[in-house]
Amino acid sequence: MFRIVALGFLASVFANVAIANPIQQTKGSFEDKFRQLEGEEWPDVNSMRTASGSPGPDYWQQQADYKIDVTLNEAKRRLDGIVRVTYTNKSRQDLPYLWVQLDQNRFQNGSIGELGRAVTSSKEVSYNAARRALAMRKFDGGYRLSSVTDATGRNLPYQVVDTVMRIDLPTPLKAGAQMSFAITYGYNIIEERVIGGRGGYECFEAKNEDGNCIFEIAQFYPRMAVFSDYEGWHNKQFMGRGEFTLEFGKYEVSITVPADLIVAATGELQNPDEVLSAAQASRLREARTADEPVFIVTPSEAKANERSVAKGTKTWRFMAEDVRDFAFAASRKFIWDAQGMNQEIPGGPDHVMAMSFYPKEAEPLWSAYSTKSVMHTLRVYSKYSTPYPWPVAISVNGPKFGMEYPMICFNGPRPKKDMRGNLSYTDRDKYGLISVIIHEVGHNFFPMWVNSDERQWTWMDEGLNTFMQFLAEREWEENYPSRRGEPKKMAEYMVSQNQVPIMTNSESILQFGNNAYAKPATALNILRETILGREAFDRAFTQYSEDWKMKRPTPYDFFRTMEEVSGTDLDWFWRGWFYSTDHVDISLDNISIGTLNTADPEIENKLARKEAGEEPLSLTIERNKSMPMEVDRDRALLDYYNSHDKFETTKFQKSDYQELLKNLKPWEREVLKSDENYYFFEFSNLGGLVMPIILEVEYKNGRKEEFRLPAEIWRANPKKVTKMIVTDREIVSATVDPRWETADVDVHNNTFPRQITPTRLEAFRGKKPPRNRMAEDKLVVSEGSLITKAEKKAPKK
Amino acid sequence: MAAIVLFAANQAAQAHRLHAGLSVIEYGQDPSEIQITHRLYAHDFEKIIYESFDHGWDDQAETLELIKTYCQKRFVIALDGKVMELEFVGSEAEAEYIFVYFTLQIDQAPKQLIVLNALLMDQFPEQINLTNIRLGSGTISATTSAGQTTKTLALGDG
Repeated sequence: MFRIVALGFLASVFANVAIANPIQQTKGSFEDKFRQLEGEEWPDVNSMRTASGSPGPDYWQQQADYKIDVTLNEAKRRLDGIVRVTYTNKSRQDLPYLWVQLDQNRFQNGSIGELGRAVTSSKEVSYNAARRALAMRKFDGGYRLSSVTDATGRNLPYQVVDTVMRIDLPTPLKAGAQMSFAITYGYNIIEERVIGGRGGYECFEAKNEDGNCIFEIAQFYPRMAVFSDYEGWHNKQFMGRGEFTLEFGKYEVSITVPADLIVAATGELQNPDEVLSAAQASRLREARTADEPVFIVTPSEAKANERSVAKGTKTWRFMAEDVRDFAFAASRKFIWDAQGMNQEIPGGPDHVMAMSFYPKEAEPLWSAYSTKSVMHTLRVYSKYSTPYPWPVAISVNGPKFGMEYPMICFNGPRPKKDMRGNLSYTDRDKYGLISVIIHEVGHNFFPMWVNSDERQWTWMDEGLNTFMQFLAEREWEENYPSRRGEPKKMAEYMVSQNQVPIMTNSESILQFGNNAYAKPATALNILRETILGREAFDRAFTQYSEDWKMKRPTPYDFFRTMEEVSGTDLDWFWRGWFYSTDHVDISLDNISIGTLNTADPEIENKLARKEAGEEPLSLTIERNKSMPMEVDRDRALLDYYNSHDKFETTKFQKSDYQELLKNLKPWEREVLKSDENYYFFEFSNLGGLVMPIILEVEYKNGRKEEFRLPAEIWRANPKKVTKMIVTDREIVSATVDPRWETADVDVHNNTFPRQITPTRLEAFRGKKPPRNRMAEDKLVVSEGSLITKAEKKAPKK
Repeated sequence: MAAIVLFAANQAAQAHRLHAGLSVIEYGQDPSEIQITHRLYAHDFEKIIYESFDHGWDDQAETLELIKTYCQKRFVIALDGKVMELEFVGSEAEAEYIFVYFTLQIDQAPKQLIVLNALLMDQFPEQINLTNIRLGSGTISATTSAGQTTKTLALGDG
């Protein structure tokens, strides 16, 4: 047992680090927020990557084709196999060596990832941390390589460097040439919930559980490292955090498992009649044209499967083309449902099978929502990016909370049972499941198909995907509780001082969730809804997706494409949102009202009299009222000025006005005649980020009108601007960004006159949040159905 | 006592690399009240709750007591050198976040703040917490992570 000691204070000095800023001048205080990025922040274009953001005529990428045979040893929780790689060198240079990724080596006790783990405190440790440490002491992790040979069976020399290996070639692989090699290997599989990885096994061994396991197997074979035009070999060590970029190719994979395990994998199953019962194979065919998901393995078949362990093995064979990776899952517990869907948008396969694999513990949520969430994701993403390119799309429930691979992803959420065995779920359980499925299935598009480099630029897959996830969630139901994307949710992070720009290498990012997921998603949502408009944005985003599918884009390709297709200079937007840590805080400081001086003495004098009458009575005059005045005592003191109204129009004023009119041009006379109100709105930009000003004014009659002023209003002065609005109506108040679409961090200064806005805590005090409403209503569901029933009563004592 | 060196929990690899907390310390409408709001990812924070109960977040008394005790132990502030006792207001869940609220009554505006924000670092060594402080003019931020869980900030004139 570990004693938890209260944490002590360590005083430290906090300092803001000033970063050199290319848009800030050394003379004067002017900042050019609209300075162009081309030629400065962006790399020069070449014949591989063009100035319009599309791949150039000389674009190339390597190709890696795989034939893999593996055997899952259920008892030993181990995988053994052989991988045969055919590597095609499409680059312009000869390669004297190849780099291969050995991701499983991360779980060796001596790996950089393991030795490089720091702890929070020397005074405490959590149960989970202690459990993992004990498990790692016993665990024999990492690849064991038996042989590395060329096509003729001769050994190839190689050197393993932590999680990567270099294979030295007897003669360099010429540009345009192809070679094959084979690696025989094996490794022990981690227990995912104890050690933590991107896959692993989970066993149901608690009291009243059946003792079976779910295997989620990924990064299970030596994979070719990327060789690219902008980085050469991508041979950075794998420490668990950075994700991947990989080469496309064809996969033929044979997976040998105990005969009663059900396998889900990247690609199309080649031998359903050998591995499924006749009834199951027939249901699989039937599902292709079904209107609702069809059980291939029914809940009762899965339950029967759980009760015994079959003898012997079966080999499941899969084939996948144009993918950059391969993963699979296997379990005796799997229920399997599937539904075919026709792709409405041409460009991908006409027909896709959406499928889900899950244990009974995931029910009833999974049969109700998983496959339908998969289909919804494919429809929405295909519409906004590029058609789904593969014949299957799978969602698997297992130990991983959420992890993506081509055509298959692992998603964790399950409903909960209480102590009495009552099954219910919260709205968070339901929407959490749908959201994670949308997110992970969505990764099929970014980065599995549009193959961005997530180890370099995490936002290019997580940010783009989170943005698309937001679109898909908003098309699921009207008030979907979206996690990210709504600008207002970003405000508190945006205002914080210690940040790095989105354009920061993956390993250097602070606050991953906010920086690489939420901020770019919010920025793109704002770009779509507020800056470009849906039509222009969607057209440009589709072009980017089409141009870069099955290719490897960089951020500059994305930025350039969005500008080229939309016809909008967005450098200020990329600078503000992607290259700076500025935030949005536009303050409406003041509104002043003016009317034009008509120069007509009849009008102006009347106005002057009215204004004078509206002035408050001077205190002196009021208090002197009862006092006798000198002019009252001696009336001879009174003259013309005492009897004449000073607001009366004089003869001279009249003739002077006539003279003025005579000399005016006709259009000048028109202007003079107008009786409009001139309103001056003074704004200051407190956050630094230049953005359009969305201004809503409210007129005296209660009507409202919105003015959308472009970001370019800040060109001459990025800190303060005044805008004039002319109207014949009377404005009583105005609000900047009334619908919270720009992530303005301080809405208090958005209104004039100012209004009090409650803090989040104050808003919380005013409401009583619901929790598990299903449980509060004493309702339960069953594994087979979403229909609610009254819960079992506790036995009477 | 020698430090026990142990590897920490089951966190490293996630497609959802969250492990980021965002706390805010600010005045309420009544300036004698300082309000503290913690925003934590539900997926991460519920791990704490699962260690004690067979369920995730809810607003039942025993769950709230656990949340309160946990946060009080791992989020501590000192104003002008004096460690303050934070009064628990409540907790709510919204989409992917859990919010936890505390308040503190003060007599005069503080000049200096020491903040210890080690929320969830016991579970996730990668956890990075950001505390936004609005007790002077503008927002200042303290980033805390394993190895440096405490920051001292001068608040200036507010």
